[in-house]
Amino acid sequence: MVPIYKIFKIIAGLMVSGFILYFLLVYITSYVAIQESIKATKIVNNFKNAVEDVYIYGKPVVFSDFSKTPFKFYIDVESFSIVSRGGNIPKIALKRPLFFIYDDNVLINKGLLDTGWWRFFYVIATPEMRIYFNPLNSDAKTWEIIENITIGLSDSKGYDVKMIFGFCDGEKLRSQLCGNKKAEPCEKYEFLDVVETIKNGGGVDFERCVIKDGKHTRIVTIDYNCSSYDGLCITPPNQYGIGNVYTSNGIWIYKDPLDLIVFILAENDENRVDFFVMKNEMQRRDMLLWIEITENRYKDIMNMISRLISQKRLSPNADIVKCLPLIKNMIDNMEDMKRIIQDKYYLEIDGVYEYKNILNILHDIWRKVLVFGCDYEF
Amino acid sequence: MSFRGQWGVMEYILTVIVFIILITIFIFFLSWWQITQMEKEMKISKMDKALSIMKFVTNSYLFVKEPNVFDDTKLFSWIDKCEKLHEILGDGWFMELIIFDGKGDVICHKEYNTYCNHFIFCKEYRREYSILPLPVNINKRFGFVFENGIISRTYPGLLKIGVYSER
Repeated sequence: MVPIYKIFKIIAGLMVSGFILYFLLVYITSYVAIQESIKATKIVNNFKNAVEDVYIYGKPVVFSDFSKTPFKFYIDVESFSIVSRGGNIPKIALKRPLFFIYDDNVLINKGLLDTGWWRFFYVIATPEMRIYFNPLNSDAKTWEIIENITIGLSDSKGYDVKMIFGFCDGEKLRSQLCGNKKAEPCEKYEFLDVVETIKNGGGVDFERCVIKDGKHTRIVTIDYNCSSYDGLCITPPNQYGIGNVYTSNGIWIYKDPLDLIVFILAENDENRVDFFVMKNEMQRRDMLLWIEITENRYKDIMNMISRLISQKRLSPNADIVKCLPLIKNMIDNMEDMKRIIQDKYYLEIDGVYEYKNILNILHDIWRKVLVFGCDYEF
Repeated sequence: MSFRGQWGVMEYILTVIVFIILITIFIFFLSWWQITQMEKEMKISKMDKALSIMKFVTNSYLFVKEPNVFDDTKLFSWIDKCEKLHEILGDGWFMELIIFDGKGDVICHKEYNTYCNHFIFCKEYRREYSILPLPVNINKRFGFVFENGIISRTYPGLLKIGVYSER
């Protein structure tokens, strides 16, 4: 017969082992989940730092760390932050304008919208993408639009994550248009050379594209009459640089190439509107900040010049005094611009026209400010 | 139960207790290790934050005339605009710029002038912080004033980015 204490040993041993095993399993499970979240948070922070470095220094970078985490990320337009699908990962606020399409490997590149007196830098982070243009007219404005869009997108030369450009002609996607000895896909500057050649040769006629957008493939139709198109269609700009973008969510007004770029990069029609609104809100905030700083700066300069003249340290005939009316003119027009962009001006045609008008006036005054040496070009 | 049996049970219970104590100590050790790692991460992240702010302010045209050359007219525009600075760069930091012009320390206030040489942005006193310094240049718009014009002048200086410890 088995002694009682041996039975006791067996039962006690089983209970204690069961307890320890249960405790270890619970600990390990939550530890693994926490570590995964920590890893994913580190990866997103690394991505944010990479975006920041590209924004500051302008050197493109390929970011491949997303493949190390099972979570997917996207931009939450309302809070301007990077959020994850699933996982207990905190939102990471975006401090710089970023247009991001998620995939395991993305190319991060810097872009610029330059008006002279104000510059809007932005960052594009995209996976391998193919952009096919379908120009249905062969006039100068159509080719200009294609050039402006291409200039604003990434140059992937020398990087593994490519951005390829080409044309859609009916049922065919033509991307092997470049290369010296054999036909190769076109990257940014090679494609611009191809466009230049076509432009100078009088243009080429294309048939309406029947191919739909793919996961990372975009078809961009350019036509004066977009009302009958399914998918993204852009009308060439008028003499003020304003045109329309047609999507299944409605008709939108564009006023600069970046408006078009965000429409093209977005993954679906709902995303397109979100990207468009996000871009314009970021641009508005950036411009308001720049106007505030510049106005303060110019007022200080004006006051200083006036003070020096009243102290007889500066002659009223000095060259710098000629800057006073120009600077005053800049301040007045920047005040007008502030008034125009206070609200969602970019959704209304009148707002957009007013914006473009003041933008052109400021550009002209700025040129004179530079010529007179009143300020420097940054 | 015989004495041998009882002693056997006691021995067994004691062994289990010692084993549980060892596991508990191991778990406490793991937790301590995690906390130490987290403190180390926090220190690294503070320095990263300071570095990130430094990279931005020394290259952004909101502050500089060219990389690492601050424009004094732009710096004056940022005085008393701490909220706006926090919007662009987050909070929990401050910035100081000292111009080495050979004169005594004069703090710059909102009104533009050419004689102050110490800019302070977002500094809260009575808070602990870590500092990251960097030699920079500061361009004064009204460096030399002559009857017929003005010439800007560039001075050497020191940029200090401070990141506060958590409250």
